[in-house]
Amino acid sequence: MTREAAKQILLLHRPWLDTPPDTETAEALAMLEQDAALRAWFEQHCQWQRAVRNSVRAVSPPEAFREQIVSECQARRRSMSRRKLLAAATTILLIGVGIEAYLLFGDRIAPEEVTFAAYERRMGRDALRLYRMDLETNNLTTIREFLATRQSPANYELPPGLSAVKATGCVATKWQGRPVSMICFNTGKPLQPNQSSDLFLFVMAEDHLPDAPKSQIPTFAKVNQLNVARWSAGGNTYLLATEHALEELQKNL
Amino acid sequence: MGPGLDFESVVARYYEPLYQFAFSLTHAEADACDLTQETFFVWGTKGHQLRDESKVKTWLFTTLHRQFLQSRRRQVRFPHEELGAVEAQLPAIPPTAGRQIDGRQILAALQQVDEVYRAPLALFYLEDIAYKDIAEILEIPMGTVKSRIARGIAQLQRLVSDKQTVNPAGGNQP
Repeated sequence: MTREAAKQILLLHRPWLDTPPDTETAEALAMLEQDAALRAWFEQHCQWQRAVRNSVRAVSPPEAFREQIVSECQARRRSMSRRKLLAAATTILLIGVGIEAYLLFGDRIAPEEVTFAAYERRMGRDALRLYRMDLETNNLTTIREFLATRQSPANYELPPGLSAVKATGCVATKWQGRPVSMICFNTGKPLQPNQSSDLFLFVMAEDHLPDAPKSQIPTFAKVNQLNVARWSAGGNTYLLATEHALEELQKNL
Repeated sequence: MGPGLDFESVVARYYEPLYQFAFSLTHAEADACDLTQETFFVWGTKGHQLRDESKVKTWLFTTLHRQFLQSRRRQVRFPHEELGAVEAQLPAIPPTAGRQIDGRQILAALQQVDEVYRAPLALFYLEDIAYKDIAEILEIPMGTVKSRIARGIAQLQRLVSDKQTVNPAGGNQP
């Protein structure tokens, strides 16, 4: 090993370390015994190394820095915990809203089963939530013509009792992509503000409802808040619904 | 987390060398404080994942160095050079015999050392960290660590030597 090579190795030697030198460094250190010039250089170099080490280690942190670290970290962690808590609360709230929405509109979000019962429920809700008719008129002929132009069932036959009830209009709606005619009536009983109808007749082609009632004689049921009568005749299935009492419904058949 | 690794114990043990390392990188007290603070915050949130207590020191220095690199938003990575490849280019070591070495001159010169050499030099002088651990902290090969330290020392010696030539009294100018 040459003197210059030994210098390059000893340049990286840290005299303050307790750990034993590697083989290369040990060899370079051994050369110091025989080479006085190298030894002189090394002594100066070690003096330099220690001076640099002392200089960089003499840099002191600001006063009370340690306490500051601890308190700031604790404060930040508390703040982070609060943010996490807030995020968790928001998540719970959103989940709650989601569940509420599902309960309210779940059957619209989830695939609706193709049964007469599902049809009844859906039409019942539409009657209760009706806010706008496609056509507002008291003329039953106009209603029939309008529904025909919308490809909604128009070949319906109204029950005799309904002939004495004032029509108010109609809606050409759909269920499971199939047309449904909704004809609205006003029985003359007191209505809620902004309410113009209180009796609704739904007509749908019978073959679109797999378990539609087969009888021409109406059967009665309570669906949601409505009293309903249902029957089938002439290839159509009928559903007559009202919020009024069952007697009122029967009177209109 | 082991009994010796509670937050305050770790802070008490390492805040000073970490600050010194941060200061050697940034040369600004406020930046060094921020880096050290941030490092301990990361430790506070993620330190529990460290299973090996003997790795705490390396973990903290690695984190601080990463924080520093992120704060600088470096675009250019320094090339890695193995010592063997650059040995022939190593500068001659200037003689330091008979010179009074002034701590302030050294610190001033350290600020002028190329940035690429600062972190390896700081770890070399500040802490009794093995080369393999310095390589782990800086995430560079060990050969690169050694070559950067050798070059850094040589540059530092030149800078101090130049200062002494310009101001032999040790920099005590008005």
